[in-house]
Amino acid sequence: MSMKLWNTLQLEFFKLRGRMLWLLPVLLLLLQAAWMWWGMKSMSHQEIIQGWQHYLYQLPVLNAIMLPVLMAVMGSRIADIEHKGQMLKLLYTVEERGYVLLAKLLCGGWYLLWILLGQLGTMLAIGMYKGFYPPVPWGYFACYILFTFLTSFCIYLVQLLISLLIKNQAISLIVGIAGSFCGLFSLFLNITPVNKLILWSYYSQLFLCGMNWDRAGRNTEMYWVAPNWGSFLLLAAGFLVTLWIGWRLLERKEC
Amino acid sequence: MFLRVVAAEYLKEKHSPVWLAFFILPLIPAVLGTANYSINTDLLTGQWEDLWTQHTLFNCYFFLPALMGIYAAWLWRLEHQQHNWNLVLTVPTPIVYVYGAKLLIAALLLCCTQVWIGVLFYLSGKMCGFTESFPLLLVCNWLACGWLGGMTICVWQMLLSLVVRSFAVPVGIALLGGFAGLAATAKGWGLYFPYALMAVGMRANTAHAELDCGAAPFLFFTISYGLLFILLALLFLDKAEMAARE
Repeated sequence: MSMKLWNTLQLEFFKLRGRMLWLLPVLLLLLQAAWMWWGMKSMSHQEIIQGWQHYLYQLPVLNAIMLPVLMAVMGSRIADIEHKGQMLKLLYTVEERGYVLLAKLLCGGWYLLWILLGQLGTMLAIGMYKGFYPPVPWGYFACYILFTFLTSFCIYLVQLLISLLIKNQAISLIVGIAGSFCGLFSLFLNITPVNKLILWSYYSQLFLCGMNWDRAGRNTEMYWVAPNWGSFLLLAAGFLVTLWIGWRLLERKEC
Repeated sequence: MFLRVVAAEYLKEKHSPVWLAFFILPLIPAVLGTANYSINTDLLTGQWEDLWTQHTLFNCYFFLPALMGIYAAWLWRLEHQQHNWNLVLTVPTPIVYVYGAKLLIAALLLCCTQVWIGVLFYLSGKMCGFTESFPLLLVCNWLACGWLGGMTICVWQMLLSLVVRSFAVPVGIALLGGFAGLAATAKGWGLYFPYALMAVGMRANTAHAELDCGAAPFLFFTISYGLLFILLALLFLDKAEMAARE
């Protein structure tokens, strides 16, 4: 990381001091932990055997609903400080626009990483307490963190760009809610070619577990799904393209 | 004088695109909910009632609270910016009128959204080719109770956005609140939790004719919460040094 970017990143964290940006991620983690704890209390023996898979199935659903709006909120808060008092105008005279974008992106990514590590910690703590059957699927956990991080990071990039380019922050938050809606319904309507084009549906496309539901016996059986590296690479390519387009748009924008 | 304040509020907000969200966002659950209903007709056999839950379940818990959060935050944002509190507090208008005008506009917009949800529901049912007649009175009842429950969320969000000067934080709280509302309803505590009242009123979980909790307790809690949050907001406006907080 170049020195210039490092300095810009440090300044971003400096600007966010005292703004309690961590508060909503912590609330989200607490809510998700409560949800997992509550679900754990009513688990059957079969569900305890497949406990890790249950969580890796449930968490992407929760993430598809909650993370897009949280990303929109974080993007808005990180970008909005520059809209107040025409700060962008001043900032662009001392910093390169691309570096400002990258620094804000990495800053949000840092918080996102802690959210996902918090989720992993909660899963492990509840699993150990309840006695989920070993082995702990570390490989799948790593894929879960990687996939969820990239999906959320892409969403965060889009939200950050909207928040930086459009002063009215309501627009970016409405996009966040609409995206969350699409992500949620993509869990039910798995239309592959259409879903590939919807960023918010990648939470469901990158599922690592599947579920067979026996309607007559009311039993659920979980099974592992091979990581979908094709979708992952497509998403990564989409991220780079969006970053490039966003960078160009930001450089051309009149403050 | 109150009408003139309402007209001023309308002037402030008429060119903002935010109201569009109330009309575009309900389209998403309507289209996708109807598609989901059409795929699962072997499981969902009760025509209008089952389609109603498909349209409203996620809408009431996750999206309408966040959307009302956006709208409430947007109503106060203009005053929070550019030292506008100095101006608002010096015009010869009681601050109650300013608050009342904003509340009235929020209530009207929520009312329009409810009507729009009803229209989309009717059109979706017709597209599904339902043979049963459209339960107009029942749907009006669901929408009216939903509006009342939604107003509780709205006044709470208005209070939050008045106190918290950030635009996005109250919206995030609304999202998490809606999610907590789902958990509260599942535990049977929906009536006592403001974020769950809209879903309780709209019978988003089970499309019954009667309210599961009873009409009187529902009215009591929605009105009590509503009056409490309005009172707190007015007290805050009266006591806090709004201009000095900028």
